[in-house]
Amino acid sequence: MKGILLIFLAALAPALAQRWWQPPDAYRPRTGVAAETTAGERVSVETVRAWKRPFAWVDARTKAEFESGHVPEATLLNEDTWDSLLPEFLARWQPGQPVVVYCGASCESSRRVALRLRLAGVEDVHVLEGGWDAAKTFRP
Amino acid sequence: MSRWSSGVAWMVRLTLGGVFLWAGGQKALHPQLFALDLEAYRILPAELILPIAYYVPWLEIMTALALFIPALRRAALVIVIGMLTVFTLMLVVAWSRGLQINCGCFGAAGHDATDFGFAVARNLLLIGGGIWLTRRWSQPA
Repeated sequence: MKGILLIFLAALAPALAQRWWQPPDAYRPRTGVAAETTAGERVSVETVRAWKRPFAWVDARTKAEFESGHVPEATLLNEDTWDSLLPEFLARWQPGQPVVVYCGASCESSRRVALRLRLAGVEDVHVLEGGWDAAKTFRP
Repeated sequence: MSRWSSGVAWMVRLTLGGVFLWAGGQKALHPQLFALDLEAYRILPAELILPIAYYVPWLEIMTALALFIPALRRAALVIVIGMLTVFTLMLVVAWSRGLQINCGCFGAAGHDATDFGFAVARNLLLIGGGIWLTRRWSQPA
C-alpha cells in the first residue's frame, strides 16, 4: 500500500512541473462554461460569413476527400501529412489572420488540427460547426 | 522456479514496462492532444480532462520504472493491472456506443480511428500477463 502511494506521489511532481512549464493554452474544451464563451473554438458558417476581415480555410480531411471537393482557397492540412503540409500553410497564412478548420460532419480531426496549429503559433483558430456539410454551403 | 519460467517473467515485465513507458512518453509529449482524446470518449467531466491529461502520462512512466525497482515492483504491478482495467472499460464503453475515435492509448503517436476489438484484446493479454506475474511474485522463491 505504501509502495502504491509512493508511485502515485512520484508522478505528481513531473505532472505539476509540466503543467507549469507547458500550460494548456492551446486547448479549448468541448463542453463546459469555457466552450460557450469567447474562449470556445466553435464557429457557425453564419458567424464566419459575417466576418468583415480576411481569414484562411483549412481542410482537415483526407487528400482524396479534399480533391473530390473543397472550399475555394482552402488549404489541405491533416495529421497524416502534417510535417510536409504545415510549411505550405504557414507560407500562405498572414500573421494575425483567423483560421477556420473543417473536417467531415462528425470527425474529431478538425479539433486536433486546430490545437496543433495553436501549438505551431497560429493563435486565432476556429473549428467549423457541421464540418464539410456546413462548409460547402458557404458563400462569401 | 525453472529458468524457463524466470525468462518468461522477465519478458512479461519488460513488455508491461515497455508498453507503459512508450504510452506514457508519447502522451507526455503532447498532453493537450491527449486531452482531446480523453474528451472524445464523452465519459469524463470537463473539469477533470486537463488534470488527467497531465497526470496519467507521468503515472504510466513512473509505474513502468517502478516495475524494475525490487521494493516497488509489486505495487507497480497492482497499478498496471488497475490502469489497464480502467482503460479497457473505457474502450468497451466507446465501442458499445459505436464511437469512431482514436483511443489515445499511445498519445500523439496515433490519430486514426481505433480498432476497438484489437485494443481490448491487447489490453486483456497485458492484464493476463500482469496477473500471472503477480501470482508468480507471491510465491516463495
